[in-house]
Amino acid sequence: MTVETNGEDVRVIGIPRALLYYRYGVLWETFFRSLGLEVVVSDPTDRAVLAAGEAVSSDESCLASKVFMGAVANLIGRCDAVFIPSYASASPREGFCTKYQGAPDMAANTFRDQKLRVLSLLVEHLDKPREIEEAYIDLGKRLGAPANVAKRAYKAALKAQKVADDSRAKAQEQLLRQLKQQRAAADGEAPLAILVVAHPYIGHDPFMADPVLDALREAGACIIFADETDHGHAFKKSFEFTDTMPWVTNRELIGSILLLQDQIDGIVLISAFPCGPDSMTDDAIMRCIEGTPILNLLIDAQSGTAGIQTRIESFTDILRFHRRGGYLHE
Amino acid sequence: MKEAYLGIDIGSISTKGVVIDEDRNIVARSYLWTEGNPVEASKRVARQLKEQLDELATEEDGEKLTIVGAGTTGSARRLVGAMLGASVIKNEITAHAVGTTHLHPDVRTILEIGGQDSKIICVADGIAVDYAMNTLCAAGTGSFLSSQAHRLGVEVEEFGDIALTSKKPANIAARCTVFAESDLVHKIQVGYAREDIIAGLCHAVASNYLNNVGKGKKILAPVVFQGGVSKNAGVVDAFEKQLGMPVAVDPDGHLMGAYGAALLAADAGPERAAESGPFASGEFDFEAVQDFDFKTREIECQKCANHCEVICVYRDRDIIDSWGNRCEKGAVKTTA
Amino acid sequence: MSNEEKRPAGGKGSPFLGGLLRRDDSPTHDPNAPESLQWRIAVSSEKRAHPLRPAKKKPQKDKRHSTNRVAFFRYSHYDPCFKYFVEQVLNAEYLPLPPATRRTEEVGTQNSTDYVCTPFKHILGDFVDALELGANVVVQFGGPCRLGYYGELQESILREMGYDNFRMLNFSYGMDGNTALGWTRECLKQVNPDINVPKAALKLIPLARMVGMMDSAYDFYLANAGFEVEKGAFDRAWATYMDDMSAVTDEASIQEAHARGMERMRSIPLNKPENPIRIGIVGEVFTAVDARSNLGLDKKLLAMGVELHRMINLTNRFVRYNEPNLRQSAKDYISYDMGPTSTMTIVAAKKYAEEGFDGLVHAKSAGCTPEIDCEPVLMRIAEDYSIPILYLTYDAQTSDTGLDTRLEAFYDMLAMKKQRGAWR
Repeated sequence: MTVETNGEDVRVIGIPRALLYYRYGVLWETFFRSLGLEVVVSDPTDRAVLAAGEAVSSDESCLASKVFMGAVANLIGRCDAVFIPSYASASPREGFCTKYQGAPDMAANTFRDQKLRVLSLLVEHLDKPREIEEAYIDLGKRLGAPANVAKRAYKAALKAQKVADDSRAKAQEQLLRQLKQQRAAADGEAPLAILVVAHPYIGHDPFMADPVLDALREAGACIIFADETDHGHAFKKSFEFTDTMPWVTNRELIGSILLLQDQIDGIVLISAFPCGPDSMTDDAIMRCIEGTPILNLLIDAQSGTAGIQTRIESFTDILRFHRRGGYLHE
Repeated sequence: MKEAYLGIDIGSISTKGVVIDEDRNIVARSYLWTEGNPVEASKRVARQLKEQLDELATEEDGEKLTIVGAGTTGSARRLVGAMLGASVIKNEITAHAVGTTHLHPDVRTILEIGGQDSKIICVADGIAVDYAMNTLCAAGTGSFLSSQAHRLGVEVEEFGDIALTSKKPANIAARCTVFAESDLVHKIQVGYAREDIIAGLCHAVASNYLNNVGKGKKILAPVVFQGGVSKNAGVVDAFEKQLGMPVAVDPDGHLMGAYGAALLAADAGPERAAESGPFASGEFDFEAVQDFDFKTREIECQKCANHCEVICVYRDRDIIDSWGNRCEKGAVKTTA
Repeated sequence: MSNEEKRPAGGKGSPFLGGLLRRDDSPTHDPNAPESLQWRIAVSSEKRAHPLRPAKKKPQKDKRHSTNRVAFFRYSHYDPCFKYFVEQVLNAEYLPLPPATRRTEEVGTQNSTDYVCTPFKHILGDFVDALELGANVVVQFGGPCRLGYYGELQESILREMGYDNFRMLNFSYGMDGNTALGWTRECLKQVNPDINVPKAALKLIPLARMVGMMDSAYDFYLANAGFEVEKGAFDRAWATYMDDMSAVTDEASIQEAHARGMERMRSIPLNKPENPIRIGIVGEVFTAVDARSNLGLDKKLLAMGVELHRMINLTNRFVRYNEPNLRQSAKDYISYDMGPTSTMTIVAAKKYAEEGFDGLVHAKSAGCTPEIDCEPVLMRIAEDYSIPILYLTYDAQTSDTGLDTRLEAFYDMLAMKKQRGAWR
């Protein structure tokens, strides 16, 4: 069964809680609800979701992809169709990992025997808002909505996503201001500011990121998420670091590092093994970002958290001693 | 005098040998550790087989069996094939398929986990129609289990029985040897019960196999599980639970490669053309194999920029085979 | 390097050219050719005239010629095309690379991150070889996957390794506006500011034809070399063809060299059964195509006496590529383009399955996301048409022995299927 074009009969639409959901989740949920559909988001990732994904995924695909497939499996039988868009990379500097491009067909073929219905749309140029709007309106029409209703739904969805993004960016700015004040007041004993650089579907997926984030919090660090920095601003900044990097999310992460570098104590890179874009981006970051200590963590099927704890502890120790200027008090 | 055929499967961990009679029945069998020395292991296997044949001949209405051909398989098939003067040198996938389908004509799926490799073979109408082998990583193979057994201070042979006593197998990530090991160490340090860790390992081996080698293959009954790891009752149990169907383990399951090699040799017919080596007289000479000194040397060919590593097999001073050269420049002449 | 003294012409005493003997397992090289032939490609950038025709008169000094020595990475049988591009289009010096050595691979692997895709490591090693041989420009392509970032990262790694005296013609640049203009600007900036642009642009047409001809010649080789009566005949013919193609300078000489090469291959006596085992190779554009990357997959299969087909090559993927049209034929399986070579992989697999091929080999680099994502689709095709697929994943550590075992077993299986139970 291939991806379906027609979905007039769809009343309940499923959205996998994985990959682009962490970037466009608000937009999607608002869009479908505005069209009068019921939205089911797959359950938060846990061991069972991952296991279901592992069972149907190639062993060679990345952890995030396995979680995605598990999230799709989680929706089977709970909705009329699953929404999986294809975000392609026709804009050379604002592209995505090909995973997003092939996701709908990959899922449809994997779950062919379960008769999974996939509804999709194609976004080729992220820098052409008109094209994206048309793609969503077209999807709305295929779901049985009149064009003007679909257009209104998309506008509302876009706005809701922007509000959500802006409020995260504002909160981050405020947190940074607060840290600055604490640092000025506390004379070197303020919490460590750690910039967590991870794709949003890693950094905000509790199952994948919590072992790292918990260890950081336990070590008394204050976490700043690089993906929450204002996207437009960070994207522009990234051109100071790289001319030809094709992936928009990696660009935003790099831009955030450049923007925040002098306000933080250390950087933790979290990548899902074996992430394609990160295999090169992490290398470039480790090679070219100077002056801020960086810890690069690769995560696989979560089970062994001992290694992560040890690494985080020693990293935060280093940052503390670094700040203090030596191992022992003078 | 009755004709018989010899089959030897020289794997990275163990070396297996069988002798089959005219009716294709296994009449002698041997199973030993390779211990990193395939030549010595094959000699020992040959010695054991010889003893069993001699015993058979002295039995009531025992008849002398004469070995008229040999086949080899497994990772050292080429080396031992040269040493034995084998008429058939076959890769282990084909040999396993041939052996198993002969013994179990109705089999549809063959699961096999050996020392370094694991494979799945799908069978329809008695022949292989699809197969897959592990791709990059040795996680979940026999050598992985042995090293983990060593870490736990348990003999790998006891693994299966210990695993069956566990009520709550631990969850172990076995996607990759490195991740699995660090996970295992962690679980040991945290104080999990030994049987739960071992049962967890067995489950991980099975699920890793199904997620890697078995991915996308339709596993149909009857299923036969073989290879060294099939002797591990814990893994058999894990397979049955995860597949939801019975998994048969043949008592001779670990010998299927050797058996297949012998069957193929029998199919090729008696070895008649040998000018030298163990088959020079037309009959396999066990003594000759024991007496000769077999050695391999690796030569780095300097004749072009490739610097191929050429492996030469010596029988005493004669070069009887060589391989590894990518071009004719690196070809080594045999001297016997 | 005992050959060093014997080869003064191209060598200039450099240790690399000293070992310039061809690697004989690649289809480009003929072990039996006279020695002079074996290294002619390497020195022909200095003797620029057609070697098979006497020089008519001394060519006038070309004021637009650049003395920059340009090198590509090693890639399948396309060296003559790269050479033509550098000499005729860029009007600069072409630096051909000798066969890769173990060091090439080691250097490439050591200086790359672990889990980057394998072609990145091979190409990095190639660039190190090129720079040590005296190249001052290396060329890198762009693409819609990780390939798009290869050039920039490799350039930074090379500079960090201490190679500082080079430029990179990186086709990932110049894509922000009009790509044709952008790429032209890059060529002018990085290689030769004096290129006569309209004249050079016209030279791209014969280049595209040349790529097409070489690919069709290689298709002929793949389909027939497994059945040659005299062992090595095809490889010798192919090596001569490669040498001839390396010497072409214009449309006429391309046509002529191609016709001669095809004639030579067509005249090789064959012993081809009526219904041979046919295997289709599908996969990613580097690993499925390049003999060095796939450890001589074509040759290993051909040696077993099979007919090979492979849709993916530069012609079908770039020169004639029309993704939406191509995808139409697999619309029962896919609705969208799934990645740089995914559509071709899937369409080719379906086509071969429909035509009753005996088996498929899917070759990709470790970690190649788009090709990994094709696998669920390939599995459906295998299921629907009952065609076995051998999945091969290559990383820099992939061993020859492991590959041999898998290919032998695959061949055995197909052969046994073809003549059911004949071994019993």
